[in-house]
Amino acid sequence: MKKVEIITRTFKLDDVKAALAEIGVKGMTVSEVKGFGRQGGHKEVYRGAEYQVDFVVKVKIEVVVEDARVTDVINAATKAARTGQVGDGKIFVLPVDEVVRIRTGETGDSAI
Amino acid sequence: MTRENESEHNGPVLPPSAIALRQGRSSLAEAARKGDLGGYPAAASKLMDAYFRARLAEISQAPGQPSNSSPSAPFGGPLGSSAGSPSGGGKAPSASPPYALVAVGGYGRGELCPASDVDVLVLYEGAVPHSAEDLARGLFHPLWDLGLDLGHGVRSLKDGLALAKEDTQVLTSLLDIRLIAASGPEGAGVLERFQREFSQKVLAEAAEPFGQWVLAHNAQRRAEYGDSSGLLEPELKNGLGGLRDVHQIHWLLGLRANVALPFTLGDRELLEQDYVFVLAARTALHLAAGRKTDRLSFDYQPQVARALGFAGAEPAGEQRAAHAEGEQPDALATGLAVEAFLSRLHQSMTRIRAMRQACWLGAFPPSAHVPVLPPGTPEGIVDTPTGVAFRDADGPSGPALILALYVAAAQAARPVAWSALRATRLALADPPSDGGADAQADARPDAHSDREPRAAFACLPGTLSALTAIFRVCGRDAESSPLSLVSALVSGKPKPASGLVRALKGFFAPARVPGQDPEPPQPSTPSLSTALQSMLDTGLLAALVPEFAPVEHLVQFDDFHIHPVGKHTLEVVRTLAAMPGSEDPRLAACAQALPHFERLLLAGFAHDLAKPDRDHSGAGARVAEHLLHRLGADEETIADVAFLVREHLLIPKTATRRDLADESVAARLAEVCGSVERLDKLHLLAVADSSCTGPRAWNPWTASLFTELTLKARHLLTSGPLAEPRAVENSRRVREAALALAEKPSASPVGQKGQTPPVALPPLGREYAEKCLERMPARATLVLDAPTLVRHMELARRFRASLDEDLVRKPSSRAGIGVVEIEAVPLPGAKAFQVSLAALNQPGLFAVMAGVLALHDLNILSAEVLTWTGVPPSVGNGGANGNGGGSMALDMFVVQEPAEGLYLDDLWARVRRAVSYTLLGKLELEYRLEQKRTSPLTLPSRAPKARSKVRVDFEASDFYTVVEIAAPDRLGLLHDLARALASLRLEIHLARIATSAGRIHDSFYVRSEGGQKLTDPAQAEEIKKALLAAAK
Repeated sequence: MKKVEIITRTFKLDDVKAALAEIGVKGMTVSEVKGFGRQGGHKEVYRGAEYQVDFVVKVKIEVVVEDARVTDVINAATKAARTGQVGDGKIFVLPVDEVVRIRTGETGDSAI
Repeated sequence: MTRENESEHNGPVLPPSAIALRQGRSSLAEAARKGDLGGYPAAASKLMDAYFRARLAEISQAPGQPSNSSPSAPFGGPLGSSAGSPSGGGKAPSASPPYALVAVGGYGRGELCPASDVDVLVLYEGAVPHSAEDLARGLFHPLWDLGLDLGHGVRSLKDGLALAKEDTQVLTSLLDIRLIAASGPEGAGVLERFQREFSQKVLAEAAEPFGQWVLAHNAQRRAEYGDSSGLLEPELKNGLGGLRDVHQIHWLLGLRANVALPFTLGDRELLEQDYVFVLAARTALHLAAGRKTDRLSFDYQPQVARALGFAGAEPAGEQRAAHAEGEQPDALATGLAVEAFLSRLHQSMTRIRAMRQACWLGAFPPSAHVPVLPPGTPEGIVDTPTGVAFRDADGPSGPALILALYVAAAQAARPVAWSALRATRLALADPPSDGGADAQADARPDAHSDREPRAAFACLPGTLSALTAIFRVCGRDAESSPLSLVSALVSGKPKPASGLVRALKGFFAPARVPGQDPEPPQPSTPSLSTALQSMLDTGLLAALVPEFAPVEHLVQFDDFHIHPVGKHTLEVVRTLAAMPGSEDPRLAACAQALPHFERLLLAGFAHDLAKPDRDHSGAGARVAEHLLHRLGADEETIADVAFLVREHLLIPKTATRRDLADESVAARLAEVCGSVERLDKLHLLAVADSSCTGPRAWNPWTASLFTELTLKARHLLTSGPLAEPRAVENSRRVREAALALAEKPSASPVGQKGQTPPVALPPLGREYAEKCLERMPARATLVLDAPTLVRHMELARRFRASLDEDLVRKPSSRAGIGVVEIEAVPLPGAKAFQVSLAALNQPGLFAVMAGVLALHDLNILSAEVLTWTGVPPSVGNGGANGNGGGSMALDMFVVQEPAEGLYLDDLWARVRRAVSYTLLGKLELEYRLEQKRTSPLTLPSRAPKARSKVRVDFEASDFYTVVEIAAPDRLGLLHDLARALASLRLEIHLARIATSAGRIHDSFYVRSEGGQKLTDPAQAEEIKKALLAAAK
């Protein structure tokens, strides 16, 4: 199992959600996050040396899927979230050791 | 296994009804795997119905369950207790308002594939009561636990109607509404009332906007999913010709039952058969994939074909044996089964698509229609609002009249009406009793026209002129043609999807006032089939030209072509016919100036007639000759067409695999063509053929190569044959230009934007440039232009500076090894970059560079190795050539434009560093490439594997041995091949890399370490073996 974290523009949330639903992803966790990447938010020089970085608001979509589905998820999310401009975001893939569905006690792939 | 048991053990607690459903579904899937695919969708729907009824019964019997709001458990009556009768009477508790549980969408139609959504709706008469929550929970949660895709709604009657008015998608799902269960007779009454109001309030007004919606929806489907009836990876549900088309036919017939539609009972039966076949394919696909997917991709095709009974498909037609070459017998059988299956599928989907188009036209005929048949059209043909038809729709129509109808439709740019399509099909239908002896009876075509119909078409007089006439006007975009693949690529900028735009315009146009509608019909009519497409669909083309029949549905089981041969041929003809109006001014001018344009069209039609043959161009030329002879073409036409067919692969092959700087290459093309006219025709044919083969065979880089080669050959033809003197002259001119350039100050080192402000470097100076030119290989002045030469000199100067610095820092034995400089410039128009890397020459250097580029996702298109004699001259006055050993290798790669163009400086810097680290041993390339290959993000090629081939050619070039290899592409392949060549002590001087479609076609111009051309056959054998092993 892998966790795929998609950090992207807030207004792309619906598109990504729809794209993931389309390929059969059954659930996701979404949170609003702040951060900056390569474009560095907005840099400002202050009194010569200091500079301040503005954090940019993004959404983070977390999805846990079987290993075999990772590529599909990434492709779908990339396609849906891409605008081609700076700030489209990033996708991280992390290993997941175990999943438990609390209501039923199911574990493993069937609990995803 | 363990996991299954585990989840069985502590999985969710399922009610008996859900357990029964699960068991039922798995035994259904089992039966389907064993062959009963056709029964699955309906059986699965029944099973689902049974679940809902049983579940309702369970809920009503256990009232005390988790309801917290209404302890009186006010569910409806004991619905399912007498499973099957939804309105089973009983003691409906007074507290709960009546409701109906209905199936909508695909479930409503009773077509549940294994991974289909199950769409259900709970309808209440008035407002939705609180108790609905418990009911929904009880009904739906077990389905979630089973992992089904459930689409559910709990709505009041009013909301349902309002939603249907707003959202056409909802409206369509409600068209297939079906009662599963209800809370007693009152519940069933809810649905009745709903349906009544739905048809009165919603449907009555919906027809017109619905028609427009369908139009826009279909344009969108075409853009998104393509025309499944002509794709090798068809989309079974949403593609054109997919199940959605069948649904649309049902909806349109339902909405517009009063409109006289042109379908007979026979048509409906045929549609039903096709529908069942496609549905079975979808069922098999879901089972094979184990999840919801409607794109029948290559990797599932063998399984699906087998499931549908195509497994042991006997090799159809002995000419297919040609396919056997180089393939395993079982792989061959699989390939054939898949091809047979796909061609059957395409035929079904073609019929479905044609019927849907006719249905739409029948339901929404253009309101203002002006018949526009060309003069000279025979009597019996009329232009009706729904297309060109026979005046006497059901009467017998002879072959000549049928052909005339298609010519008229093509010239008037009108679709062919359904009645005429049917008449065509009927006329072409083989008499059931007859064997294969049709060929005998065509002596008296008129007398036998109803008994030996096909044969009568084959010897119809005037076929040639009719075909030419139709080809000439077929440049129009048809619904089934891919969205402007050619024009978009040729011009390098995407063209808006005209069909979609038009449809959207129609969609958003203000509603017409019923009284007055002077609106022209064009904007709201869909782009339907052209007459030519209809000729292919009905099989008329194959009847007229029997040579076309074997390839009509021929599917090539590779991932290079995207269309079956018949469809591909049509697209080529269409593209050629559209060429005079092409967006590329050069192609347009070329096509407009052509005399005998029809010969080019005929060649386009004939170019793949011999397709499964190994030498399909040679054999095709013979077929074309024979065919045109029979059709009565004149000798000149025959000779021209045969020539074009025979040589139609010459330009693509030469341009992508040969050294275009070698004048003899262009000379050979010029010699083969002999005249500018033939050369131009060949070029146009090559462009049309390649651009219609698929996106992978055609890109701006390939286009630029085609143009370069043709221009060179054209030059030779117009200004006479020349050889060496011109080369010498040219290279002298380039030298002079470079020397002149070198005296001017140049811009920033790498010529890039951003970061460093452009610092004007001191000019190289004439003296320095001359020293550089001395050290450059002779080839440099032949293949490079002056600015590139100067850029290389600058690169060399930087390289020398870094080298000197390294020499100071490190002991002389190790110094200089890791010194690498890079320079990259965009190639205008080709969507590519020219990347030059300089390093001290060492064995395997080329392989390292190729590997590093692959590691950075840079797709190499071509490469040139220019090794200088010695290291570049030092800049200062220290003139002495310090480092005695070693020479500078300057490898120049053309790579495809990187996906992201924002941080190119970074990218090139990283490439430079990676090459340097690899040379120093700080980076292990093999392991990195392997890691990248096994990453889940690198998709394994899904294409059927074809065998690799290697050819060692001593003849192709005077100075080099040409090693050609064709192999399935994979990450880092060029790196491995280069390594193999390096370990054979061969020096690569030029590499042409034609990576078209999952398959590479590389040519390496090599020499031995001593600079000699190879001539030893034994060594050639060794090279072959080594490369084949490396390409594994």
